[in-house]
Amino acid sequence: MPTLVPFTGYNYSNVVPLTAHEDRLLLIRLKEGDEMAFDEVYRLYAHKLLGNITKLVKSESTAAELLQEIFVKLWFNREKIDVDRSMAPYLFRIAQNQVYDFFRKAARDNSLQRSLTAASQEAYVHIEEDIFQAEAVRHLQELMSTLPPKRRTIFEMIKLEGLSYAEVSSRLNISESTINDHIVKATKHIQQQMNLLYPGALSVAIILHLG
Amino acid sequence: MLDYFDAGGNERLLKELVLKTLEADDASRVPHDALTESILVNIKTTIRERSEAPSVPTIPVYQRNWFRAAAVAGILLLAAITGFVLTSRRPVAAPAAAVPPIKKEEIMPGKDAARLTLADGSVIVLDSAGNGALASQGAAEVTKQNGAIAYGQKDAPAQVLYNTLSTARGNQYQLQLADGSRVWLNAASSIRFPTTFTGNDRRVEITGEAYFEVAHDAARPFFVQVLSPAGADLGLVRVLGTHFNVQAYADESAIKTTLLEGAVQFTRNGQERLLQPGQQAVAHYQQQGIEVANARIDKEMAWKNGQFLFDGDHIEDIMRQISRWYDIDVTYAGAVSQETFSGLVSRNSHLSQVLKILEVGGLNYKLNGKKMIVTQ
Repeated sequence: MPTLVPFTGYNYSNVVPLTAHEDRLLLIRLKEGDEMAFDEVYRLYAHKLLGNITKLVKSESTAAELLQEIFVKLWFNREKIDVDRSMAPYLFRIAQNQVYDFFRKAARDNSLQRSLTAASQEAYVHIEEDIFQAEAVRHLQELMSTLPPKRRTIFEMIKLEGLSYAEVSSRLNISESTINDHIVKATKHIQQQMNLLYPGALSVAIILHLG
Repeated sequence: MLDYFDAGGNERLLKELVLKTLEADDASRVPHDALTESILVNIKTTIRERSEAPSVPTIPVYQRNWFRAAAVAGILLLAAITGFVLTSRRPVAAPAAAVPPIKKEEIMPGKDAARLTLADGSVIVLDSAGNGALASQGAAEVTKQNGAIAYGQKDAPAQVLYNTLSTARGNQYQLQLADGSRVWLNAASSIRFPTTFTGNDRRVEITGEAYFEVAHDAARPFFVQVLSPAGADLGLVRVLGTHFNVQAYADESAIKTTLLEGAVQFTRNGQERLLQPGQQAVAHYQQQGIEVANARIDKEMAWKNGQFLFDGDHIEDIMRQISRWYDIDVTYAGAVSQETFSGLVSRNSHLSQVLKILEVGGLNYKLNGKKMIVTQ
């Protein structure tokens, strides 16, 4: 069994994984309410969980709250533990549900959404999964193809190529106010369509990203 | 992450992405050890808060709050008989265990119960039922509230009457003396005390184990006479306004006095030692001297905080505590294993839960009703 070190100054980076047998004994003790077992579980997994949750929610304080709730749940539901299965998958499933629920609620809560989006904007470069980005971009491209040709061109030049209004104005020989008009309408259209496809956070975020 | 959240078909993929990210082993965002550790503290606080039973309105003075992890140090006088010394572990928060569904023949934990013997010899059985005024003992009013009784001093007393509060195995109780001092009585223990304190000092007698929070009174020093169940003098604790624990079980190897706060002096057979907070005076039954050492406060106070704290303990030491609290008899078949056991579990647990934890550590036993045989 991993040895516990004193309360202060615990080195979480030095975690030794358990054998299957040790894992089972730990589960039994936890199930019966041995607090030392609870501490051992925490020492084995909390650090990694905290780091990865922070990666997802972008905020250390939010991650701390979620981690807390995960382990409190672990304790209060300890009697449901199936000692014939492993600790890690069980614990990580609790964590998965906790984090996922957090996002689900956040997507519905507008104000929280906005502040989260603002936070994630800064960290936006660190997209973990290409698949989702590709999907979103694909949808966006599809939508853009539904725009009238001129509007679409203008939109692409401003939003995707990053040209200034002045540049576009001189290239296409149209006034900046016209450009603005097109942009407003294009954005509105895309936003509406995205809302139909992805109600909630996604559309707002994507528009913000593009803006 | 939030950006890709929607109510459509991406849900399942997103959920899997969450799990994959949680399980990932990369060093890109490693928190500080101190942060992770501090969250554990919050977790335990939250667990403790959510575990607390729905509040029964209690008069603060009579609170029976066994689960409050008050960081009080105590002097433990431990009467030694057989030479086993209990060691301790670091403190951990004390949640009340979620009471598991009662299976057939479960051995229940101990409860707040005791017998109060009045000066005239009459006995009142104290249990969870029936709060309120209990008796009038001379100038003292005795009231009962949820696992505790309190003596209130009314007027100048005509005579000094002595009462005895005693707990059997499987019981514990709390008492407030006439001067406001509080006493927690563990299982198989007793305290004999005057209903009101007169004279120049305050004196009580105990057997077994008790934790004291003595009300400050510079004019009247507080003395705890430690006795064996047969009445033999095992030592005297002189208290200088403080919190301490005294343990004097006949089947343990020593009388232990553990000081949490304040100062006490332990005297036995003409020898005396003064204790500082965090220290323990140990007087082995079989020996003459008194040893003073640093105490594992968390371990000595575990019982009062509603827990069993085993840390590298031998099975016989553990079983003595178990037998007192669960009221079972324990015998040993064959040679007693020298293996050590550790665990931290609520005293509110069923015996079976505690035993399962010990089984993990290698305990083998047979349990027949209230008789246990520890096997190899």
